[in-house]
Amino acid sequence: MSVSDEILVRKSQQGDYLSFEELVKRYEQKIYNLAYRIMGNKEDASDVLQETLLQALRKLPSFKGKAKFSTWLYRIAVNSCLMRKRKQKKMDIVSLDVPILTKKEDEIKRDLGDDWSKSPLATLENEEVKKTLSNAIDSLPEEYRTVFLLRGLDGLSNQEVAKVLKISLSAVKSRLHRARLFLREKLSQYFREYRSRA
Amino acid sequence: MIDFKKLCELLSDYFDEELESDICADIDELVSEDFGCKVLFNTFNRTVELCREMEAEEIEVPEEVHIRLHEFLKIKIRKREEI
Repeated sequence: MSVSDEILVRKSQQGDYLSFEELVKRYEQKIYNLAYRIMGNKEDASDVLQETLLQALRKLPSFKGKAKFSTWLYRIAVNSCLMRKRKQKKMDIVSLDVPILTKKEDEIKRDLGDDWSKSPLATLENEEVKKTLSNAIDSLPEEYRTVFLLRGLDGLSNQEVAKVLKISLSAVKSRLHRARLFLREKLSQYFREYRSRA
Repeated sequence: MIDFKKLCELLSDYFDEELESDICADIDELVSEDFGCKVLFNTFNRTVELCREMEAEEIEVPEEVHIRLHEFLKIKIRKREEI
């Protein structure tokens, strides 16, 4: 049976390097994945990974264990990504006017189109679909994308994402839902265009 | 009573299994009766599935990054111990 994070954290706080290294081994892949998806390239993802774990090492003595270690660590990672993005001046201006994200129900109904869900093309093995989805995720406003990506990380629940980002549960649910509607719309657009090409 | 508008609001909760069973049953009934609702329901479901498949694809930490990271942290810890 593996040792819990709590025990490893306590031992690390007492100066046991091997315990800290075990925590690093547990989370480096997850942090790298999250950072890669937020930042969009390997160089920034590597830098964020290093920054996150260095900050964790520095702040570990003052970690009280009120939140789960993973939640605390993901928060450091997300903040590191967002700081880096701001520095790079690539931060999207988050606007509630992003058209598809604020679509009304009647507009969604009008644009429904075909049911492409059972199409043999609706798979990630279809490179066009994979690219469409990937580009759509990248084009989400930052606050939606961060919620969406965290939700996909390590099976984090809505409540855990709310804790990582220090926002309300209803804000998490709303952003996740709008993000998914946006992605569905982008995929529907792809299938409409595909049909018109055929 | 659930209609198209309500369905739009509830889809995420439905697929995240965060709805009461009676509301799920109402949604299932609506979807079986209304073509527009069925299209939205199915395509939303497939979108969530595709997202989950994509999220499951791990991006490996490059070996050189892994080695550099552990060496870097070892140095930092050693320096801290010396203080």
